[in-house]
Amino acid sequence: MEKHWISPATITGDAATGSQYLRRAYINEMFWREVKKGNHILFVAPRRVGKTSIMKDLAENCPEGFAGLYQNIEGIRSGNEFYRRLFELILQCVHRSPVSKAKSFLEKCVQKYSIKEISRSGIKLDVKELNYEQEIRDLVPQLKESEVHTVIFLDEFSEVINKLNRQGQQEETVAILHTLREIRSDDNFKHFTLVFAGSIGLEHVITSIDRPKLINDLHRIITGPLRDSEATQLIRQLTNEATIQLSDEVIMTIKNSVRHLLPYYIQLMVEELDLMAGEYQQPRITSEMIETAFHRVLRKDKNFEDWLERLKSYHAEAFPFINDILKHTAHNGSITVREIYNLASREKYQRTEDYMNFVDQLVDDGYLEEKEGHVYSFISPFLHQFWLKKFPIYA
Amino acid sequence: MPDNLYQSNFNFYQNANADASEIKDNFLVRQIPYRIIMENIGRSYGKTSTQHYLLVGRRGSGKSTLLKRLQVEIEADSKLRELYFVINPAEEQANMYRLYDLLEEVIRELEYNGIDVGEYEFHEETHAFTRQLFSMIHAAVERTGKKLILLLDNMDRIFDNVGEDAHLLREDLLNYSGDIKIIGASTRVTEHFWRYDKPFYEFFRIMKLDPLTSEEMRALLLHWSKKMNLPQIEEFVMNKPGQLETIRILTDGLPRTLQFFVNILLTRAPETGYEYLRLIMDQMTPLYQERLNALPPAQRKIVLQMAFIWEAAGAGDIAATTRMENNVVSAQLKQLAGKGIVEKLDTGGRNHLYRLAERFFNLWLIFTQGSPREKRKAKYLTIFLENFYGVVEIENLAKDHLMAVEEGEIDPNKAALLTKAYAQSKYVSSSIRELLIEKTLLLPGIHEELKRQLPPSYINIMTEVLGMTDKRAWKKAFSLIEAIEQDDGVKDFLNGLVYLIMEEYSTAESLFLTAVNKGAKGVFSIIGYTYLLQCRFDLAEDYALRDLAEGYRRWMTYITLSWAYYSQNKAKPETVEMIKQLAKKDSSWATLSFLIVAKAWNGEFEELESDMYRLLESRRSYMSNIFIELLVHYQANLVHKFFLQEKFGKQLTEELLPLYYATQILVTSDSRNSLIIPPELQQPVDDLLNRIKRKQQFYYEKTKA
Repeated sequence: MEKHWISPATITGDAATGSQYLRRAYINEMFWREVKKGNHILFVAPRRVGKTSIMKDLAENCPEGFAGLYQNIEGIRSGNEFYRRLFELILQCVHRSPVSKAKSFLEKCVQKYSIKEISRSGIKLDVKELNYEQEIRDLVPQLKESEVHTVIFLDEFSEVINKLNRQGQQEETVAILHTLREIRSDDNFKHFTLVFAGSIGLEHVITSIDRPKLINDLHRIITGPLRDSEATQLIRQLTNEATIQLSDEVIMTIKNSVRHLLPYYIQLMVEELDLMAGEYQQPRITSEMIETAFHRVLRKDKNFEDWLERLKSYHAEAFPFINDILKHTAHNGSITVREIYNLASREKYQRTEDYMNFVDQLVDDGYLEEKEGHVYSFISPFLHQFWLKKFPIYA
Repeated sequence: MPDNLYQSNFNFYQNANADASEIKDNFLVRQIPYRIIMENIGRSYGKTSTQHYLLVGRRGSGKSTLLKRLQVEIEADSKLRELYFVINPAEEQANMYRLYDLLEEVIRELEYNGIDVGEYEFHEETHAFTRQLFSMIHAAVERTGKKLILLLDNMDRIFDNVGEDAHLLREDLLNYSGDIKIIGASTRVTEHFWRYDKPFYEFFRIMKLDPLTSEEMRALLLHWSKKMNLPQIEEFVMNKPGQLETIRILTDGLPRTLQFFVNILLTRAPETGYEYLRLIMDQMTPLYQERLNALPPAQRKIVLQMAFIWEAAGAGDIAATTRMENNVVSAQLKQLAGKGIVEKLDTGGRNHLYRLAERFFNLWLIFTQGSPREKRKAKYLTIFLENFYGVVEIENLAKDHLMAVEEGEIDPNKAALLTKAYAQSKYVSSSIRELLIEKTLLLPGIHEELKRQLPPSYINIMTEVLGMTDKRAWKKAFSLIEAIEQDDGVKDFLNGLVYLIMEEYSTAESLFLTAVNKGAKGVFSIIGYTYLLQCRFDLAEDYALRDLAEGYRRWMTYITLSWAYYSQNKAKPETVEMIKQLAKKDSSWATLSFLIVAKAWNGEFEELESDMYRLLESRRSYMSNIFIELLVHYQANLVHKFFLQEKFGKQLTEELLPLYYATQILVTSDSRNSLIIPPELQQPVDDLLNRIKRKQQFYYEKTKA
């Protein structure tokens, strides 16, 4: 049996917190700057970029005079449930603040609403069902009294809206959006900030119900991959107490192989390297091992299968054309806009009018990146190799 | 010592149901995922980030055992059991229809362990009910200070049932991070875990339980050997590394299937291999029968046909054999792949290939579900026997079987089946093969169908092949040869023969040499002949002599050797004597024609002219070479005489006009003979004369000197 082997402190799935989380200070600074200006925020990024981790960190590390609370609300199924949750969150958030005014404010609320208990599980009221929407409208202006600016982070809000809409509750959906819009724009609601995020883009959902104006006041914060120095920091952080040893050169090689520095992909590589090192009982990681780890990650192709399936289901009709663009890019390393147009002109596609829409979408969704001179290539070597593996022949 | 592992306490199907100390003692493989998860559990208490895991592996790969091992370790560790509650619902979890069913089970387990969770009543508003249950669980966690570790086997099935409640589960896990850790197990990574629009997209760290490595299998077997006091297992591990590897591959590296093979090692019955295999298959039947019965009829049919096809096949091929529609088969295959019974092989194109995921299950289907007359049955008996027994043993088994057939000690139909199996094995020599077929055909009472299915003997194959070559049906000839299983040189020899007839001498040579390397006997003669045709006379001589040295006394050998000597202008008297002796037994045109040349070479002219006339009477074609050789040996007048001969002179002249003119020139130095040659024939005549002159120099220059 090998000596005690300590694996890196990776975390995938749940939000990274504490020593597993790499704070991107400029994001936090930008966020609080906007909040202090009075803006409400929409975090924009595909999944696995780290939105939840960022929000949790923001909620737990508020500047003075602010109190934050994070909540994932994707299980909510009705408008009333949404308002009730929001109502409770506001009170729970105030409850977290040590400020004395906040405490006395809360006392009043306890009396008013016959609150029996406030805990992390929610609030127990000793009253019949309230009209929570109205209560929120009444409650929020009074937050001024608490002298605490309440920030509520609603993760997967877009999923809730999407679900309600799919269930045929479009009116209720629109009503919620209106209410929130009113709350945000009312001068009396200034001690209160709402932060939204979701796996499904909120803009995409709003567009599908044809109400883009209802969120056009939100300030968008786009979160993307890590910077080079951040990726180095993350790798060092994850492997700080681990058995595996990574030199600067090795870290550079890891970054070069991942290229599109999402925390998730970096962690996949670190986990794979740890597995390999453990199998061979060789803690010192070499560059050769990185290449092997890359291919092992790729071979577990469920990691990337979804990138293909997503295109098939979201763009069923245009999929052959889009896939041709990606296959060409995979086999040739890149594709120029001229080559894309050439593809679009094919008899079987005839996409000369809207081909750039698809290209823009591929860029926005994290498949391709644009270099100067309208040349596109895969943003991630993982995706590039995955496409080559899936489509080894391209005529 | 038990006769049979099955009679011992070796628990084939439910290893995970053994008690804690047995689980711990017998846990040898899957150490890496175990270590990673335990380490994470050890250091993550109190942290607000929770890593959830999904163990993925085939049935029998040890997922349930690993889950149980984790549970045993946590509950045994004094520190960890203070920090965690482990909940491991029943393996099959058949009752979990909705998320609240799972949560109720959690609450029941907590109550069973003395934790008062509180009262609740089911209400129709299931969403609120589920939230209530969650709330109660979290309250209990907070009160006790103990976090929950939920071990969920067949997690994919749970997620199939939970449906939209999955969002509720994820919400709870993210909002109460740290309270509940899920370690699930599944036979596959279903779309719940990799589809972008599903709540648990890339939520779990996936730990694949790959097939056991050779080292792991060794370690496991040695452990069983020691623990169960079964030295035979250790002996097998130490002495048969090749077979060990084969078993690993045949069992797909699954610990559960490996246990059955261990049983084989310990209970080698004296019956035939067929009976033996039956025994093994019987042991697997409860597991596999259940798997088969659980399938709807259409899928069962597809699975059976796929088993008979054995190799990976496309949906179209499967549709053809099942006589079902293509799109129906495709849909069913997708479902079967989802269940982990079928494996999809991505071809990179539109049409993928499919095969049964577990090879041993495939074998079982063939043996138990096909009729006794199933052709494929014997083939896969062959595969099994080859894979399991290896080269030396299977030849011995074939010999044992031959004895049994000769002494009439075996049921004729079984004999036929086993003969077919052995005859198709590449490890059984051709000689045994031929004997097996011959003797089996003599047995009375064999079912006609089985008789027909016995492979043909090599003589029959060769006759048929030569028949094909007569018609220049090369592809058919090669195809016939390809069906031969043995790899002891027979195939190469026959292929070489075909190439020889096609006049591709170089390829033929290479194949014949390969046949020799593989142990084929009696091939030297034809190799020599091939060299002769390529004018490589020294090698032709060498191989002909080797053939003689092996004791063969064949026409081809003598002819090859004779021509080889002649072409090298050596061993003249011996060659002539050899051919004379040959001609006494063989009066073929080839022998007689060479006899004439040899005599002329040797300066023996007695009866030469009459021999020539006899030759011309029997066949007038192919005389060109004979005439040339006679001219080389200064017999221009004799040859000229034949061109002038009344009966066939005219025909010969017409057919061999350049040779006629060349002969004319050699007969007389009259310059008119050169002038009358038509211009278009001048070059061929000159070439002939030069050739004759060169050969004369070769044969006579030294002599003159």
